[in-house]
Amino acid sequence: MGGGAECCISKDWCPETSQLTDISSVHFNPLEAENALKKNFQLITLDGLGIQDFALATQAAGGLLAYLHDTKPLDSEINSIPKLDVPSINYKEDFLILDSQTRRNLELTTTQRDNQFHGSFLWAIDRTLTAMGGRCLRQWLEAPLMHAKLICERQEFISTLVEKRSARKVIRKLLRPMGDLERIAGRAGAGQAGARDLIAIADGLERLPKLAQNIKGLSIRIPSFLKEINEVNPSLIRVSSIIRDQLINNPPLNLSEGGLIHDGVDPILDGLRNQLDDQESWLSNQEEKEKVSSKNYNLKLQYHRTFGYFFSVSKAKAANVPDHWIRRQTLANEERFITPDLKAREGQIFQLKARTAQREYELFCKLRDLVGLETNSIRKAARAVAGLDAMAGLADLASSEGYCKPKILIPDNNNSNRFMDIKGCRHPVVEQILVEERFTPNNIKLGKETELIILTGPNASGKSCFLRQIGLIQLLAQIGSWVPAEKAEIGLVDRIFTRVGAVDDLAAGQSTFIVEMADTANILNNATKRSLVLLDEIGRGTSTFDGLSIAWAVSEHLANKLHSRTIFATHYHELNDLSKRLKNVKNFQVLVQKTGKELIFLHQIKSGGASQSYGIEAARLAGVPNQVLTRARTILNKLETEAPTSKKDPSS
Amino acid sequence: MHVDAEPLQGNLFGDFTEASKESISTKKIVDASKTHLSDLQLAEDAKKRPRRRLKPNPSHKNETASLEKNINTSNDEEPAWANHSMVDPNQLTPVLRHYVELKAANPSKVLLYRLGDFYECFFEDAIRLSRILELTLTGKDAGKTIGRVPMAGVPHHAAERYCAELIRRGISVALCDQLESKPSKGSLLKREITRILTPGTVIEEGMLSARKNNWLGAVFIEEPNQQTQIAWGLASADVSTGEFILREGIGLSNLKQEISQINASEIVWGGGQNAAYPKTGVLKHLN
Repeated sequence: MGGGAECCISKDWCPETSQLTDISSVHFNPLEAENALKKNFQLITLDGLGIQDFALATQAAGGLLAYLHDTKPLDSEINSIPKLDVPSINYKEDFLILDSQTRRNLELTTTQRDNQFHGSFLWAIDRTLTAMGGRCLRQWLEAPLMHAKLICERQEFISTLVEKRSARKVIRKLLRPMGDLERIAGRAGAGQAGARDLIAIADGLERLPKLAQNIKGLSIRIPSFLKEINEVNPSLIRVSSIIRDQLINNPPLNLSEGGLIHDGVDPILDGLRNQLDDQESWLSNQEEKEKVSSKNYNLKLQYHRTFGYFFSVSKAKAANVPDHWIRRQTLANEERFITPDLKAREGQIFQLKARTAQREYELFCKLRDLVGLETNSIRKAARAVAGLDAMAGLADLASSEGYCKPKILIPDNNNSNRFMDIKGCRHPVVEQILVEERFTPNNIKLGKETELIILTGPNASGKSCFLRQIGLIQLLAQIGSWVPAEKAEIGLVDRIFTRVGAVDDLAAGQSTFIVEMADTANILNNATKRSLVLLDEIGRGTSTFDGLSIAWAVSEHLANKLHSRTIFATHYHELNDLSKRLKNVKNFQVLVQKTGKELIFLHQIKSGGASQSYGIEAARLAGVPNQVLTRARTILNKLETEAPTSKKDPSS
Repeated sequence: MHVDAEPLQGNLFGDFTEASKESISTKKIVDASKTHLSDLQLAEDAKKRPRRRLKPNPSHKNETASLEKNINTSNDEEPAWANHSMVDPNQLTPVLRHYVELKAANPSKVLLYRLGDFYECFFEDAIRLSRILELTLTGKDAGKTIGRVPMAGVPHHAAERYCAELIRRGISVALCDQLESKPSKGSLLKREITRILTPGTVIEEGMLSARKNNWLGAVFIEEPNQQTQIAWGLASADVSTGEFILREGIGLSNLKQEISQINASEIVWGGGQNAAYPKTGVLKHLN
């Protein structure tokens, strides 16, 4: 928060979670940026990148490369910055837009309440087995697709994996032990990978042909993004066989102490090792010799990190040792001796060992650089693996949680496919968290004739849950996944808007009501015919009539002007009257059963408007003291009999 | 937090001892040979030669006073020499002078400076790190006129772990290592910054979360003219996976949207030094 007082340009655009670093503005200069890009990707001209029309982003890229250059470690022998792909353009129209409020409200990657991953949407649907696959799914979730063709491509593949259970199991079995090829390849390229990293790369690459074989066995058209698995790059196979050939299978963590490279890889190393073997046999000869000379057959030749080679003799026999022995160390029940011969040899052995370790390190670095040259193709393969893992994970989810394959409606010119029709839909997260009860499925038809649903019902009956599940199902459908429902037809939307709950933003100095209205304004200004709008209670942060009027006007605007697909959950039962005036508005309610004083939540959604909120009942369930409840009932009765204004027509 | 730091501040200022010296040395020492004195004799002796209570050290009094003044004026509970820019480099010991030089070149990063088995940091970094990483805040003598300056450090073998924690909190770190084991005669060990770790550029396995991309963003904002909304370009790269993506758009709220969508751990921009943009409704002037 502090420290920015001297700066005169607002940094409001930078979210608090991102660290903002100032660098010289020179690097953002168009010429500088162009040169930085050319240099980094070794190009003569940038024409081939297709970024000519993106001058501002190109300038930003220049700054990014300059920053990477400034922060690269000085001691690395490699002069370039970490390897990057050539830049690709992210076109807005290609992806479903989720603003940060919506991401928060739908709890995509963290829960709203305590920012935990556990309980979030991603937590519920992530069945991926590799880190790459996990990242891939997260990316899909953050940017669902807008093109029906791409969605269907994923969907088809997932469907095949759902149907062919055994093939899915085999593929997932192959994926499970795979290391993070994408990142390890980067570390190899930056000269930071260890020996175990290279083994992980070899292991991963060796699995590619097996994966390819299994995918081909599915006998369907293989999606374009799995091409790298389908046709494995021969140079990768070569790399993995070189690694296997040179590196031992279980190399130590430490790279500087030898024990990395197989015999028969390098003549110099082999020579050194032969020398060491000779020394070893000299040592064991020496042991035998001294056994004889000292007449002590329990004598042992041992080695210690700091003391080097020595003869170890038990205390009892230490009194009469040969004269050429030199006492080195005395322990509780043994004495340690050296001989001049041994000392002289020791020096030679140390030198040999150091040379061997050095040679091994050199060979390892050579191997690592060789792998580093393939960084880009390893990464390409890794991304295909990540995609496969994400889809196999979604297929596993679909089959274990009983999802169905939604029919994606391709948008046409006269907007006839602008609707969703889902039977028996469930909340993907809540249904997994509920243990004792079954989640109550519901149906929804939205779009075409009904563009705005007014959803009423008692507190705590599951209105918000229903709203969110619609949003999540839409999202799942647009990442190509199956959805938690019995049957679904889903039209694509360009953006999901949500306005859920009331969270004040005191840190930014905004009141509950201002936050609510700012969110609402955002929706009204940006929603289109193709958007999905989920409103949960607007206008409750102010006085009743002000709130009702705003809610009424917003609903009218959405139904009359914007024609977005909208669900509006509210306690303003007056809004039920809207359906009489506007053809495209329908009322739905969440059913409850009242037996005596008990209220049973059925969580079922039926057409028609509710007339009561049972707020006092909900308060009772939450533990509000009886005294207060009784008083509240009295006041409620009084208000209901005395206040005819509430029934007054707001539009007149 | 502040309360924790307070007792530690004590040792940054001088101590009480000096005032007593004079009173002892001027008195004649009687009968040092007698060792076995009775209680009565001891009491008599005490009457003859009364011992004076220590008066508070005047210089210490000044320091407390100045500290109090500081608290009153700046409302700041920080120890003396709370920032590296407060000292005159010429009065520092050579090691700290080098530290201050490096720090001045990397003001936005925490500078960890290798001294033997520890990576130490001083001044504001020491205060900050002692709070964040729960390290002990101590002091180091920085030269005659300056006295002790705040210091905190981590053992070199644990540096990786502590750095990972700093990175996780979005703090950049510069590691300054010893480049030789023995100094060439009469000079300092050669030390230089060998690694710079920032939240957006790390590729070490332990500093990344496996199932999340780690995005570094760079932002360029066009100077706006009155008619249109501000246009911007955003380049984002995950250094660990190599992905490199460009985006463009209009409106600063959309920019914020994009950055929070990728959840960038670090953003670089060149706007900090630019002259203020001409009047617009969107940009706030903080001053």
